[in-house]
This record gives sequence, structure tokens and C-alpha cells, in this order.
Amino acid sequence: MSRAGRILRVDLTGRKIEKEPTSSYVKDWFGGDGIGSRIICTEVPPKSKAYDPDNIITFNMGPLTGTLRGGSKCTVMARSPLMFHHVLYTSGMGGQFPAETKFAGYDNIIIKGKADGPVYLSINDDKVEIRDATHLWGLDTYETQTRIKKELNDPDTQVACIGPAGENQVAYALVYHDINATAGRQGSGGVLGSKNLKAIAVRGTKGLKVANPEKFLELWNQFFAATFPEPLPPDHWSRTSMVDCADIETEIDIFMWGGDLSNLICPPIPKEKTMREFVKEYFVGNSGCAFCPEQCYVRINVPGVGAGAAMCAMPGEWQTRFRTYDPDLWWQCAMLTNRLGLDCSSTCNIISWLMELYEKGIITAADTDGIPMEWGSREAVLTMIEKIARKEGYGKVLADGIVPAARRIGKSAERYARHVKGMEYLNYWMWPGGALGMAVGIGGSGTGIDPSGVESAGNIIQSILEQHPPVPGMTKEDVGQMMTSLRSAKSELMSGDPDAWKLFEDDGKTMRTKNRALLDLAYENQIRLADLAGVCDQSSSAGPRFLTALRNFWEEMAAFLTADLGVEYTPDMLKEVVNRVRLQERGYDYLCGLRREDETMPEDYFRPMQTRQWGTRVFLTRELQEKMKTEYYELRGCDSVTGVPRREELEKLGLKDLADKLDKLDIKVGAAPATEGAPEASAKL
Amino acid sequence: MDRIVWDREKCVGCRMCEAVCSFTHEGEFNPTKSRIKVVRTVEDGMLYSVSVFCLHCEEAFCRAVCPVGAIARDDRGAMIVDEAKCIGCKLCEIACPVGAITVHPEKHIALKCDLCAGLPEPQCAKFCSGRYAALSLLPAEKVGKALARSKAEKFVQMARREA
Repeated sequence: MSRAGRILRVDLTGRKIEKEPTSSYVKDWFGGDGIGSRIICTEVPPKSKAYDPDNIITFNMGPLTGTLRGGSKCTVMARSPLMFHHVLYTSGMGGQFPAETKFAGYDNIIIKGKADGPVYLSINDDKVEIRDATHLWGLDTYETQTRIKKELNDPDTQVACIGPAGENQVAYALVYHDINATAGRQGSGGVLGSKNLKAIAVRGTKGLKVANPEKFLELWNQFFAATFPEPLPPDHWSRTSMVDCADIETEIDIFMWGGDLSNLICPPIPKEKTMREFVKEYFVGNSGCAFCPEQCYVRINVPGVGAGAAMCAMPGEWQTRFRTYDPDLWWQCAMLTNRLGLDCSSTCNIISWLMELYEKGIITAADTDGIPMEWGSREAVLTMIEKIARKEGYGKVLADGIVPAARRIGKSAERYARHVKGMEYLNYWMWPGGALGMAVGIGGSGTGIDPSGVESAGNIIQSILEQHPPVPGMTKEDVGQMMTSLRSAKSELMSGDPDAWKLFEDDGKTMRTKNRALLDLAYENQIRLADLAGVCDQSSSAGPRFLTALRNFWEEMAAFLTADLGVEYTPDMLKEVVNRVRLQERGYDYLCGLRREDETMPEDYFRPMQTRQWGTRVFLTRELQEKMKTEYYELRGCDSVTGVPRREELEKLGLKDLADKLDKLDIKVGAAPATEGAPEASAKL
Repeated sequence: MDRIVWDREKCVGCRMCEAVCSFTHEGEFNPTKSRIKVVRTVEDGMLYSVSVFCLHCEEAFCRAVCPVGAIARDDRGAMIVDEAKCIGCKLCEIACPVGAITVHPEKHIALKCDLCAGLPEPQCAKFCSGRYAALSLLPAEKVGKALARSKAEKFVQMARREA
């Protein structure tokens, strides 16, 4: 069986290293971040803050990580410095590091405490050391990796590290590895920085066995045949990257062009070159995580600017924020945030917000160190990125996240700060269809991405395919029909209702809510199952690759895990574990201070929006939001009014202790609005 | 004889070949036990990936230096290590001009590609063919032209755009 068998425990305060058997957690918590979650929920006091030494940051590999099916993904989990109440978060990271850690013999790396000076962790099979990193402190993420590999005299060492932003404890600093493999959102980099941990270097030479190799390969061949029906050229980037985002903006109104949600009709944009043309010109190849056939990273090299990979949400983020169409600026931002170690989404959101505030006269150039925050200004964007990472000048105002920044600025700045529970939004957070998932799931533990947003990404994919049809000669109508049929099939598979994904009832006007919460829950559970099992969540049915959707992921995972672990697993057994993990996390988040009122969309979502397709109207009402939240709570096993996990559910799952603690909480219904949980302004300002 | 061909125009460095090779021959996922090695170099945000494996040389240094005659050509043309004869001296590992030989970490004998002797086809090429087709098995006399065609593809694409 392909569990490595050991959990690596590192206490940076006492510089102690211990190894404990994974087996003690397996029965109730299964593996992956089920174990990380259990450890944090039982060992980190709820009232602790993200940068306290007693925060525990976990790197969690599942049983299938490092095998052909699992590829090489892990989830990083800790208390987040960005989120309200510093609740739990999960952040996925791929590349080579997760598989290498399994080969070294560890399923999870659990790090607590704080070193008394800059250090890095070196793992070489059984040999684990805490090494001095004084000479590395200050280096960017590219240089850090190179130096450590050289110092350890092994170019096959895999390094996950922070850059200056993490060192400065920016609340949205990331952990960077290989080429653009990152634990990107919600502040993993900041947590490592607060522990003085510059990097983790791992090298492993052991192997992973499975109980039933023939069955495993048979299942893998089925998975592969269903997911990749034909060979593709190595430059298949158009399928899974979001490079085309800005090019489709004028076609459908889904992107908040620079943040203003009241008018979603994007103006015609003069372009010298489309993003697709830009990427094609500088494209050097694909890459991705070890052992995965998809290889979804799109690598480009722009002379004079730099090389790296564009993939996933990142291209779409920078392109749509500054009311300018500027591929050159996009790549400069990408390179800068890569090296400094900053999350693209939070960073571009905050800068975009400053531009909006400047336009509205809420801030002036004098406020922002003499730099006019004008829409599309390259100087404004690039300078502010540096300031944030280095926590210099105006960067100090911004480094703790958008809500603390808004409170420092005062006036009506917070009115325009669009976030959920403290986390700045992603460009494809679909309104209003994604509203439920966003309000409840986003930024919270368990997913790190909004479930409905993933489903709603279907809108983007449809737009891309309309412009670049998968089969030459397909019309827009053909594409529309194909997508509708796929999305309905997927919706039925996930929730039992083929229409649950639709935004509107048949009248085309009334917002559709039937089974929406159920669909969101299905997404959330599948993503979490992927994390527990150790496979990439993009390879679950929740992934945006629609071809992968039409198989039963629960059954697939049950079959793989049975073949791997030599123990029979059924979908029901796996569902029970997912439930236990999610309810534990939700309960813990309440102990941290989370309340129902925190789970809400930003103000703008409830106001009229002007759109090309649907006219000007209000899409989401607070009533509708609360209705969907209530449904979600009930389906999740929580109290329909407060959202607290119900005692009966907790006890069924063996979590009576948690139920007792939750009973002692003073939870007022309809209490104060979501202003009390925001991370405090840093004392260092 | 048939040869495994690695086409650098098509390879993305996914390392599936390493997983498949070690799993098939050694019963575990373990790149250090794979007979094909993906050598990755990451610098300044660029990735350079080269797949290294035995090329079954016409005049094989490995066979020449072996003091006990443990390496010989089989009827498919592949250079095979006779595990019973191998003494683990590691001279072949040093002598190989491409670095295709390694030492089995447990058996301490020479570990190299045997063109999947005893199996219907080389597994690395089989698994890669469904995705990137960077590894393929071809008759030796066809390899040169196949690689020329692959590299000429860039010019063909340019011509198509101009057409």
C-alpha cells in the first residue's frame, strides 16, 4: 500500500524532529489533509492567531500521491493570517515536492513553533535536519531553490520556499516550488515566515507499493482512456489554462473589469496583440506535476522579463483588474510576484481596489507615496507589488489584507473592499450562481476554492470554446448545446438533478435555487475526497475538464484505494470520513470565532448589475443568500439557524468532545455584522 | 532490431515513464529504480528535461568493460545484464557514454533498460504513446527519418500559416 507510513513532526522552537506512524490516524481521518486537519483542530488552541508559534502548518500527501493516479499534489493547511478569525484554510501545491516527500518516507509534514533565526528544513530519506538559512534570507524564490540544491549537492532535491514577501509576513505571501508550483492563497508564505522557516528541501529514494498492481493498472488505464481519449501535442495549453480570459471579456460579462460590479459590460478594448498571440510568441513548452498526464502549466520566456509558467487562474487575474489590456504588464507582474512570493489574486485585487479608490477620490497620490494609482498605470502596479512584498512605504498599509487596509484608510474604503471572510475574490467567482459556494466555502477550510465557482467556470470555458471551437466548424450554438448537455450530465452525476447548475428558471428571469446547495455540497465533498486520497482535485469530477466529469469519482476513488491499500473501501466509507473532517473543521472554525454572519458576499453582489445578456437587475438578494446558506447548513449536518454542526451529527462521527465545546459557545442569532473577525492591523505598522 | 526513440520535440518531462518502468519491473513507484531517467534542470524559471536510457549501442562500452561477461546482446538486439553473473563492480555505470546504467539499490547489481524483455512491448513507450508520444518503439532503420520529420514539423507549421 502506497502510504509512506510516517508523519514527520518538526518543532522549530525546540529544534526537535520526531516521526510518528500514520496508522494511528488512518481509521477516522484516512490520510492527506484529513490527518493535517485533525492535528490542527486538536493541537492549536482556537484562540491562537496565525503568526503565533503554536500555529501548526501542515503539508499533506495522500495515499495515492506519488503513484500514477495520484501524480504529485499535496494540500497545505494551517490557520490563515488573512481570514477572519484566522480560520483554517487549505491550499493545493503540486510540482515534484509532494511525490518526493512520499519517496522520502513521509505522508505528512507537521511544523509548529518558531525558530530563533532563519532556518530551512532538509529531508533526505530518514535523515532530517534543521539547517541555518541566514545566508538565504532575502533571496527570491528562484535563487533560493538554486542555492539550496547546490548547497545540498543534489540537483534532484525538491525545494518549497518563501520569498521576501513571506519573510515579511505578508498575509497573502505564498510558498513557491519548482516552476510555478505554489501554495498560493491565504498566506502559507506568511505562516512560514512567522516561523523563520525559509524553505523545505526534500530528497527521497524509497518506493511506494500497491496491494493489487494488476487491478491498479487496469483502473488507471480506464481513467486514462476516459480522460485523455487522444494524444495531444505538447502545446495543448489552450485547454486548461486561463490565458484567453481577457480576450473573451467583450463577449460575455463575467469579469469584474477592474472591480466595479455595477456595470459588467466591458468596453471594446483596442489590442495590438491578443493574450493568446502573446503566449504563443513566447511559449517554450508545457510542464506540470510529476507523473501526471495533463501537464497543465504553460511555460513562457519573455526576453528581458523572465521565464515561468502561466496556468490556472493566474493569467485571468492580472488581465482583468486594471482596466487595461496589457500582456507585457501581465507577465511583468507574474514574474515579480513569482520571485517575491506573493499571491497573484490577493495582490492584483488590492491594487485594483486602490485604483478604484483613487478614481473616487478616497485616496490621493500623496497617500500612496506619491504614486497616482491610475487605472492601467504600469508604474502604479509594479511599484506597489514591490512595496507590499517588502512591507515598505504604503506596502505596510496593505500587507495584512484588504480589510485591515480598508480600516487603516478609513472613509468609505471598506465599502469597495470585495472579499469573503477576508479573502479577496478571484476573477471567475461567478455571480450569483457562485454566491452560495463563495459565501460559505471560499476561504474556509475544506476547499480553498469556491465549489460553485468551479462549476461556474463552465461559463468561461464555454466562451473560450465559442471563440476557439474544439472541432473546427462548430458554431456558437453547437458549442452552447454541447456545453449544456455536458453540464447537465455533470450536474446530474454530482447532485442527481440535471438542472441544478442553471442560473435561472425556465422564465429566464427568476434565480434558480433548487438543489443548488446540494450541488455545491457535492463539489465541496469531491474536492475534499481528492485531497484525502492524494489525487489532484482537478482530476475529480469537480475539475473543469468536462470529459473527466462523466464518471463517478466516489466509485473511482473507492476502487483505486481498495486496489492500493488492500482494504475494501466503499463510497459510503469515504463519504463518512469527508463528513467527519468537514464537520470537525466547521466546528473548530466556530470555536475560532466564525459566525453565520461572516459568510456573506460583498455588498455589491446585492445591488443592481448592468449586463449584456440579462439587462440591468438585481441578481442576488440577501434573502436568497440566506436561504441557500440555510439549505447548505442543513445538508452539511449543521444547525439551520446558526450553522454550527449539530450534536447528533458530531456524535455519530465520534466528535462528542467538539459538541461539548460548541455547546459552551455564546452564539447569538442575527448578531453583529461581519466586521469583528477581521485580522487586526499589524502592530508593526 | 527495434529501438526506443526519445523525441525531445514532444517530451514535456512529465516523468510518467519513470513511474511506469519502476512499477512494471520492480513492483513499486520509485524513480531511483527506473531504468529510464528523466533528468530535469530548473534554472531562472526555465525547465530543461532530458530522458536518458540505454541506447543498446552497436559497440557497447558496458559489455567491453564488464570483467565477467555479464552483458550480452539478445536476439532482439538489446544489451541485457545477466543478474546471476553480475558482480556489481559498477564499471559499466562509469563506462556508459550516456549515463544509462545505474545500480539497483537493493540487489547492488547493474540496472539498465532491457527493452522490456519478456513483455509484449516497452512499457514507457506504451504509456507515453497515449499522451505525448515522446517515446516510441521503431525499427532501427526508421528512427533517423522519424526524428527528421519531427524536427521539420516546425517548418511545416510555419508553411501552413503562410499558406
